[in-house]
Parts: sequence; structure tokens; C-alpha cells
Amino acid sequence: MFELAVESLKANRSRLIATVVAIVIGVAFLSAGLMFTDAIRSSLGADIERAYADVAAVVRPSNPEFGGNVPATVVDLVGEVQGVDEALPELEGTIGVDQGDDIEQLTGRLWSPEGPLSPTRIVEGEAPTAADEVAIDRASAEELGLAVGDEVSLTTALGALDATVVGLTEFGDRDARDNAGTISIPADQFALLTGGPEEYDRVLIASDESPDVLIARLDDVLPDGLEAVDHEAFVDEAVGDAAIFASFLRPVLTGFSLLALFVCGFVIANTFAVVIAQRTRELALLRAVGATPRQVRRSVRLEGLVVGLVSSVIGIGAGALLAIGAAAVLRAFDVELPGAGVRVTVPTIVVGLLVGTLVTLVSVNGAARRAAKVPPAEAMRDAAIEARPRPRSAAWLVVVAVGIGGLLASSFAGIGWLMGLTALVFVIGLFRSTPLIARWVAHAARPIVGRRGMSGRLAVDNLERNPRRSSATANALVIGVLLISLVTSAGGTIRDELVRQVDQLSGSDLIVTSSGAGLPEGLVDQIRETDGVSAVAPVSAAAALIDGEPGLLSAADTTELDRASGLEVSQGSIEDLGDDNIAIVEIPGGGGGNGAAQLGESIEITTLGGTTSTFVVTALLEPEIDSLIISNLVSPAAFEQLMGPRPATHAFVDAQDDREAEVKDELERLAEPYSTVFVTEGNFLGELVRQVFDFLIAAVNGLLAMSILIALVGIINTMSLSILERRREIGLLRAVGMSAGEARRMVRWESVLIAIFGTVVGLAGGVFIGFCVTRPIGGGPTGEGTIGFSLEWGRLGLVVLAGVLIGLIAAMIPARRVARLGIVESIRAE
Amino acid sequence: MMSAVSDAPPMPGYAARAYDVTQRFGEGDTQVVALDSVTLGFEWGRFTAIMGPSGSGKTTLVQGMAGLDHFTDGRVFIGEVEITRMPAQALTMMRRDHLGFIFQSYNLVPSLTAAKNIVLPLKLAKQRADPQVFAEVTERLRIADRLDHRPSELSGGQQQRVAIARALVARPALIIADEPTGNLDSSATIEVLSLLRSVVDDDRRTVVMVTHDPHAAARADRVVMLADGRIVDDLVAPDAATLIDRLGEIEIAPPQVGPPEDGPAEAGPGRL
Repeated sequence: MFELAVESLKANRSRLIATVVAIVIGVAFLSAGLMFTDAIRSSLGADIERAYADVAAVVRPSNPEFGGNVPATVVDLVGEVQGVDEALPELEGTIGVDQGDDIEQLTGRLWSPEGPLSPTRIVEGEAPTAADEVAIDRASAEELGLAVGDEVSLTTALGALDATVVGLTEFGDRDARDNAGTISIPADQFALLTGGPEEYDRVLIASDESPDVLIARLDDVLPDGLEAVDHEAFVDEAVGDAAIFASFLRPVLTGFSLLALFVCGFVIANTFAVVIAQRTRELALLRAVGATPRQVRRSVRLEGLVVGLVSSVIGIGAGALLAIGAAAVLRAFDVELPGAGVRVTVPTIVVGLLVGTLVTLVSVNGAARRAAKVPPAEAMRDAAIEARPRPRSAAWLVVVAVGIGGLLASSFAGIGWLMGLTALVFVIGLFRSTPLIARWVAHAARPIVGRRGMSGRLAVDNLERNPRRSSATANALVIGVLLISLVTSAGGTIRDELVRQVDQLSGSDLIVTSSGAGLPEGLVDQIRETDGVSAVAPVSAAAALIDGEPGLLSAADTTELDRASGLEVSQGSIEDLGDDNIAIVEIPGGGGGNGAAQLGESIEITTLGGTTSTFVVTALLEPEIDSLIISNLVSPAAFEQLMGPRPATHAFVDAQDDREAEVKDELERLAEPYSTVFVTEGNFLGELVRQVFDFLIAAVNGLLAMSILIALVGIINTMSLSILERRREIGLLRAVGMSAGEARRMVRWESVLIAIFGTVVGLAGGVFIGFCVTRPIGGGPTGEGTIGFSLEWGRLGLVVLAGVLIGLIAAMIPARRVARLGIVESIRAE
Repeated sequence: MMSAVSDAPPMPGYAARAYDVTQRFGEGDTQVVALDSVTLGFEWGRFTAIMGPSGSGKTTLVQGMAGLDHFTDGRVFIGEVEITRMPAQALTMMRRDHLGFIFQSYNLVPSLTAAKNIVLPLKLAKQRADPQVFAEVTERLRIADRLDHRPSELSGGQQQRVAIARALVARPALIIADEPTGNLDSSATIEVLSLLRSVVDDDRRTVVMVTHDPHAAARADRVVMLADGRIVDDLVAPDAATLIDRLGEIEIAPPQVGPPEDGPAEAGPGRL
């Protein structure tokens, strides 16, 4: 049986090309995604493992995802713990190198002599010691055209700094430790990174002690808010953080590949259905000489298995090339990704093979079952009687109607899960009823297309002749177009609604933020003196445990806040916050803060240094942008008592009316020398949401375009196969006077009709689901929403146009083939 | 008559039997009755020919009796086993163990060599070809030197000999041939007929052959004549001249006969 399957595959090679191409595309994309993300992960893992190879343990804030720092005092504290050989504070930040027209951002690090905890070494010149000395990694130096002894203008957390490059560094066997490049400053110049206080990201510890004992001893001396983790845990954590991009990308790419493979299923099923129909006689013969139905079924499945396996293998190879290509393209656009671009792992290969083969096997099942039903007597019929499957889709129209009704009803009732369920019912019904819709399309198209002469009329006939095949071809397109129009319409609506809600929140005109420890001292004064600024409210903020939960504690002059920010008090008052009073953000539904505290209740604040104080809630703040930035507000005096003297971390700025843009430009100019200071508009969130959504919609649609590509392959395939099948008929038409041009036109018409059919059905389905799904969001539970359904007619029109184009492109190869068919041979051909 | 049919008594003398079989194609106005209540049996060890004009139901009859197709009505036995309502799986097993079928258009699998075509039924039954039988059959059919060729590289006569070898190699008791000489020239025809004759005479097998060639039919032990889906004649070892005369009569004036059961008294030994 295996031999027979292989022989028949060989004989049908040309017919299976489309199947192979479809699976190869799907599997290639799937495995490329896996290889790409594997490469990023493993390369980052290797980098991090190298950087922290000799680190036995790390002391860091207990909630690293929340931030916070390690105070300088802790370094000495852990240095004295028994068994600790060395404790080295680590601090990373951003330092910009002013290139005149552009600032190149590098990763700034504190210099420490090469040792087990610090693998960076000087390869030329010497280590930086004076306040205006830096060392730079060799590759970055080359790229920036710098050499030992050169003067550089830097932007730091403390502002512009003129420094001298005194040394070039290397890291292990590589140039730089950081992908962005590394710039090393003397250890006592931490303020260039933090903006002031001596605080570190973490403390690295070298020790020969067993990890458990070491961690236990360290935890004994560490204050609340800090903890020690062993080597392994820290590396895992760091890899996870660094590879967050890959971790996000992986499921997304995988999901879209699986969708593409799903679309492949239609192409495969269609191809095999046609191939089986053409081989009816041969299969009947097999049955006549003694093959059981089961054997015939198995042989077709076996063919699917072989095709699936071979295509998957090719697909994995193509995936590796794709991953390399993608990395190269990204590099060409100056997006430096860690890793060589490809990492082929056994799980990737197994997943690729398994998924590709399974999809093929499942897809050929229908054809296999049909093949087994061929009666043996069919072998003796002179000409294969063309089977005209009667579309059994009338019942499925009922399913579509149920889906539509259910979707509308659950949408107006606002029942989420029912919407999902009915949407699924709708889509399944739609897929199954396309044969019937194909007939309607043929009927509707006949008067229009038929006027275009014989070729148009014949195209419509062909469309109708095997509606099941026409619709299976169109269905591949329906999926892609449906999802694209769903994402476009629903995504657009959700975006508009979110932007509207965010824009309703009040905020200050401008916010100046520091990503380091604080705004430089002089900057706040400069802002105050800027022409057009009417009020400034500098705010100091620091991480703290609020009732045991990580949160942000802020302090500011409440009078200034009132004038410069959009802060609004819903209950109580912030007019005179005493030393033990606190204002927290109200949670809709009552109370405020993390624990939903009420007015008059008390809240415990614990600093990362371990000091705990109790505050009484005297005000609840409206949840607006500015209040969310502030989170928990205490008086400046209380803040200083808890946290020590700290510079402002951000400042709310109110500009005079109509001068916002001018003020923003001026503030940006003031902030330029500081590597850590950014100016944003108070309503930046709305704009950000819009941009993020637009990007997501575009990205998702771009990935969905891949399934359209496979649908294109499917149309080419169906057209080519149906021409092969109708060779005799076409030869006859040509013999009685149809010109090659007319034959070509006939094929083109059929292809365009299928494409438009698939596009329009998908579009209508997608927009309808999009409308139903987003209706409750726009209307809200009480229906007070003002937002309309976002229908971008232009974009949807483009989709239809793309459908026509796809039809024309798909017809190119088959049309050429049909025109080339020899008349005499075609008629003679069996 | 009908009661006898429904009882379907065991009849050890027959390799295959059909009781009151009817075959209709199509529906309504376009309905065609290809076979009209035919009852017939093929005796073991004899060479039976089935003759009749085009459209008389010859092929339909043997296909149904070989289990390749189902009759609309009636019952069919192969040996003592009724196959009328046998599921496809079991029926296939039955056919490949007891039946060889030879087609007019050879029906070889184009992608397989002659040798592979010959052993295909055995392979499908997961059996190995007996090398001795294989050698003997291919020797006798004079295709031993063509075994590595594909069907497209063989002449019509050679292809039909391969097809006959395929029907013989599993050593079935009953061989049914549907116009085996229809596409062959006269020398190839003579060769094929001699082969079928020797299968009966030397190997004691049962052969049923559909043909429209009176000279071919004259090689048979018994000739059953069909017209319009009914048996109109059943002759024992007739010569070609008799057959030509009979055929002429049938084609010029289709005889007004009743159902075969009440038909002419000259029912041959094979009629039930």
C-alpha cells in the first residue's frame, strides 16, 4: 500500500504543488517564529550567564518588577555577612553621547576593576578615576569615532558633562556587555546615573558558601523590602526580563502560524478532493482487483501523510532561512537583535513536523473517505461521470440565521460568553453555507458578467458547476478577510472608545519626568522661570510598601499641586495634610488605595529601608491621570522624615492658554542635556493608546495577510486543477472557435468571481461580528456611550479591491496554461 | 417461481448464481432497466460465454455477479455464500479470495510495472505470491520478459495477458472476463481465448466470458444470450455459425419473450 501511495504521489506530483507550497509556508512561518524567539532567548541567556557567572547570590528589592533600589548602607551590611567574599554594588543607567545632531544612548555602568564579579576589562588606556573620565567599549568607540584621549559631551542624570575617554573596554570575549554599548564611569560618580542619592540596582555577592546557607544569612541582616536570591533564580529572572520581547512575540507568532495552517487545510482538502475525483477510475480499479474500502482510505491518508511530512521538512528548512532573513532585514533597519537569528532546537523540529503533518492528515480525511466510497464498477465506465454534489447547505443557512440572531441578541444583552459562542456558530454556519452562497453569486453575476460575452457566461457556469469546490476555495479567503475586517473594525472601535475615556480624564498640560532618581536641582527653577509657564508643582516620589503591597508614595506642596495639576479631591481635603495624614486614590465602588481604605482609617507605610509609619486617610482623590501618577500623597515633611531628603522625581507644569506647544518646546530644550529627563504632554495617554492600538491593528493585519497569501495559492491551485480536469471541454470550445484570449478571459473571470465572493463574504462577516462584539463596549452597560461603530470605509474598500487583485493575480498562471493547451491533444486526452 | 427464489436452496453445482436480479439505472422518465428479473447460474469447471447486442445487459450482469456492483433487486451467491447484502469490506475479501476479473480495457495501474500489477491483488490481501505459480503463469502467458515494463510500454495483447495473469495468480476458482478480446487484433484474440480455454480444461477452473464475437463465444462450453435485459437463449457448445444466426435474429427482431423463467423450453443445463 505504501508503494502504491508513493507511486500515485509521483504520478500526481504537479497537482500537489499547491498543497506543498501551502504547508511549507505555514510550517516555515511557525518554525521561523520558534527559532527566532529561541535564538533571542538563548543568546540573552548566554549573555546574562556570562555576566553573572561567578555571582553566588544577589541582593535586590523584594519586588523587582516594581522597582526600588538598594541603599548604599546595605552594601557594607552584606559585606560583613559571614562567608561573603566580596559584595559589589551594580548600577545601570543611561548616558548619552552628544554627536552634535543626535544623541547616542549607551548603557552607563559603574567601573570596578576586573574580577570574578566584574568581567569587563580595560584593553587600551586606563580605568576612569576622575569625575570627568569615562571608559567606553571598543565597538561603540569605533562606531562613534572615539579614541583614547578624545573629549566627549555626555548627557547624564545630572545634565551635560564634558568628559575625556581614558580607556577602551571589552567584556569576556565580546566587545560590549550591553547591546546598546557600555560606558563606564568611576564608581564614586553614581550620581551621574541616579541623579543624586547613592543607591544601587542590586548588590552582587561572591561566596563559596552553599547557596541555602548564604541566602539565609543574608536575609537575616537585610531590611524589609530587600531580599537575597541565589545565582540560578537571579539568572532566570534576568533572562525573563531581558527576553520579555521574545516571550511576548512567541505566542503571537505561533498563533498566527496556526491560523495560517488552518487556512492551509482548505487548500489541502480542495486539492485532494480534485485529485481523488480525477482518479476515480484508478481507485475503482483497485477496488475491483481486491482493495477493501479501508485499504483505499488508508492509501489516500498515507499520501497525505507523505505529502505532509515532506512539506513540513521543507517548511522547517524554509523557516530557518526565513528567520535568518528576518534578522537580516531587522538589522538592515538598524534593529539590533541579540542572537545570530536562528536556533534550531529539537522541540521546534518536532512541533513543525507534527503540526504540518497533522494538518495535512486531517485535511485529506474527507477526500480519503470519499475515495473509499468509489464503487468498483466505476472502473469499467467509459468516461468518469462528473459528480455534481448537490450543496447541502440549506440547513446551514439556518445555522447562520441562528448565529446572526444570537449574536445580535447577546450583543444587546451584553452577555460576553454568549457573544463568543454565537459568533462561532455564525462563522461555522457561514463556512458551511458558502456552496449555496456560491450559487447565488453565480446567479447574480450571470446577467452582469454574461453581457461580457461567451467567456463570462462560461466562467459563471464553471463557478456553479461545482459550487462545493468554488466555495472551499473561497472559504480560505473568507477566513483571512473575515479576521482582518473584524480586527480592523472592532479594534478601531475599541481604540476610539478608550481614547475617548482617557481624554475625559483631567491632566496637567505638561509633565516633566525623571527616569533616574530625580529632576536635577536647577531644572525645576529653570522651568519656573520659563516664559509662558503659569504654575509648576514638583513632586517627590519613592517606592514603598503601602499596607504591605508595593506602591508609590508621593509628596508635594498641595497649593502648587492644585494650580499645576488636574488633581481633584472627591472626599475630605488635602489643604493641610499633617505629618500623619495621607491622601489616596479612590477606587470606583468605594474606598481607596490598595486595601480600599475608607476616610479616617489608617494605613501602614513601610520604606524599602525597613522603617514603618502609620498614616490616617484624610482625603480620597478622583481617579484621574495626575492622581494615578501621584498614587499616595503625604506632606513633604512627612515624606522627608520617612525617605530622607530627595529631589523631585517629576513636575506638573501648567502653561498659559494657547502657549502649550511653545512651552513644551522650551522645556524639551531645557531637558536635553539630561539623559534621564523627559517632557510629555498631560494627555499623552490618549495619544499613546491610539498609537499602540494603531500599531497593534496594523501588526495583526500584517500577520493575517499571510493567511491571505495561502488563500491566493489555493485559488491558483483550484483554477489550475479545474483546467486540467476540463481539458477536453476547453479543447472542444477552442475547436469550435473560442480564441486563446477568450479562454484566458474565461479563467480570469472565474478566478475574480471566486476572489470577490470570498472577500465580500469575509468582509461582511467580519464587520458584522466586529459591530456586535464592540456594541456593548461603546454603549456601556447603561447605554450612555456616545461613540459610534468605527467603520473605515476607505480601508474596507481597499480590502475588496485587494480581493479583485488577488483574483487577477491568481488567474495569471492558469490563464497562461489554458491558452497554451493544444486543441487536438486536449480533445484526444482522456 | 418466486417462492423457489426466496428459498434459494444450496446448489453445490454452481460457482455463482443470480436469482431474479433486476438492475435499473436513473429515475423517472430517464429510467433504464438494464436487467429484468434474470435468474442464472454458472456451473463449476465450465467455460460459459454471455452474448448479446450492445445494451443487452451483459456487463451489468457479470459485474453484479462478481460483486463489483449491487443489483437493484434479486439475490447473488458466490459458491454457497450469499453476497447480496454483504458489507463492502467483507465483499472485497470474498472477491479477492475467490474471484478473478478481466476487463476489456485491461485496467492496469499505469504507475506500476507489469510484475507489480500482477501481484497487486495478493499484495492487497497481504499475501505473498507463490513464486512457482507466478513463474508458471507468466511463462504460460509469455510475459516473463516484459515484467519490468510499465503498461504504457506494452502492446494491447501484452497488456491483456498481464491483466489475465493478475486474475490467475491468486488461483481463484471463478474467473469472470468482460469482453477480454474487445480491444485485441485477431491473433491476440486467438491467443487469449486459448488461454481461457486451457484454464478451464487444464486447471479445472470456472470461466465466464462476456463477448459480442460469435467466434469467441464458440470456444465456450455454453452460451447464454441476452437481449434487452433478459435471457433469450441458452445454448450448449454451439458453433459460430449457429451463434451468428441467432444473433442476427435477435438484432433484427427482438423476440417477444416473457420473463426468462417462462421463456423458451430449450433452457440449457445451466438455467435454474
